[in-house]
Amino acid sequence: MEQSELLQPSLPQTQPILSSQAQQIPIISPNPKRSFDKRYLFILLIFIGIGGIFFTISKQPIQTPTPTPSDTPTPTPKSKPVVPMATESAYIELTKSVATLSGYIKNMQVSDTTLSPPTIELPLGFPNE
Amino acid sequence: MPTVIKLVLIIAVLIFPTSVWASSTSSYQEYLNEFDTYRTVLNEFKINRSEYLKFKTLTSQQSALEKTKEMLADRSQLLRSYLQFLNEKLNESASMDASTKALYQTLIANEVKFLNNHTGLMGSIGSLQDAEGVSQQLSSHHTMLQSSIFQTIVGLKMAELTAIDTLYFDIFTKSYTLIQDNKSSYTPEKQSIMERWLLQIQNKRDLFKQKTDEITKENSILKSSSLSEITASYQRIGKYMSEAKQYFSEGTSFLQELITSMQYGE
Repeated sequence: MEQSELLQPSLPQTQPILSSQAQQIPIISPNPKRSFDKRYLFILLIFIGIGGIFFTISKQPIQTPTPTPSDTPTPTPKSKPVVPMATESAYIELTKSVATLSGYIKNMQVSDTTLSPPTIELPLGFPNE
Repeated sequence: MPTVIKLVLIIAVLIFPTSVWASSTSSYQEYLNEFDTYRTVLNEFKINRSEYLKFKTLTSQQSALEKTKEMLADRSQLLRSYLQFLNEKLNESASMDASTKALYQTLIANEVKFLNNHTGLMGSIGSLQDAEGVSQQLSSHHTMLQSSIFQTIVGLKMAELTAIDTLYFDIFTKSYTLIQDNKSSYTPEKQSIMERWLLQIQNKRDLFKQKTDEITKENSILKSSSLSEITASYQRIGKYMSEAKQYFSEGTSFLQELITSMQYGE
């Protein structure tokens, strides 16, 4: 018994490799679904609200100051000198004639519908018998 | 006694234009009434003709014949009343010279004479075939009738345009004379501006003259034997007249500007 024990070399104690490695690998769990952070929505709503307030303020009519009459008189155009002929009867007659001519032209109807001839039916439409 | 004569003359002068106006207006009203009658009779004629063509009975034939005779008489009367209205328009035209007026009135008188003869034939209509024959007489003459009508209308409108032209030229000449007589009142710059304006005013009249020449050319086509050619020519004349009127309209507004400007020396 002792002899058999001597013949058999003493083996160093070995650790189970596989079992220890399996213990070291971390378990990969699937990524958890990221939910929308409601804080962002809240901030966005605040920004929209502020923007709306600014927009309303900017749209409000600007009150223009009412003009006050100044003491300085408005400049009148310099009147042109009128020729003596403008007061003569020949010139006055001419202005009247031109007004008459203008009236004639306005009243003239080139396509006078009252003058258009009547449309009549010519063939009687009976068959030749 | 001379006072009485003067008074009578004044009253005559005052009444005359009113009577002329009433003459044209009443003849136009008469023409419109005739047109209404013709339309009614034409509708009745069409109904009776349809009935005859559908049933071919002796009763429907007789009704159709009676309505045909009535329609033919009214058709002729309508044309006569229209020609009467044109004649009154010629009488009223103050701008048309006497010889031209006489020429158009002869044209109208000839057409009225034809229509009177045409109406006279209606008493002899005894059958629908006779009615066709009488109607055919007017159909053959229709182109000439249309030609006479269109020529008269063109004559009336041309007389109006010529009257406008006369007045336009008169104002132009007077303006020119006034400027020349008062040359010393204007600065040289002003004078040259007014001369340029006068040229432009004259130019409008020249353009009108060109249109008148075109109308004269077209007027000869109005005497053509083809109704389609006559109608097309009449439409072209209408277009030329509108253009001629437009030239006068522009020229008159130039004249107004010139006359206003003539008041000032610079």
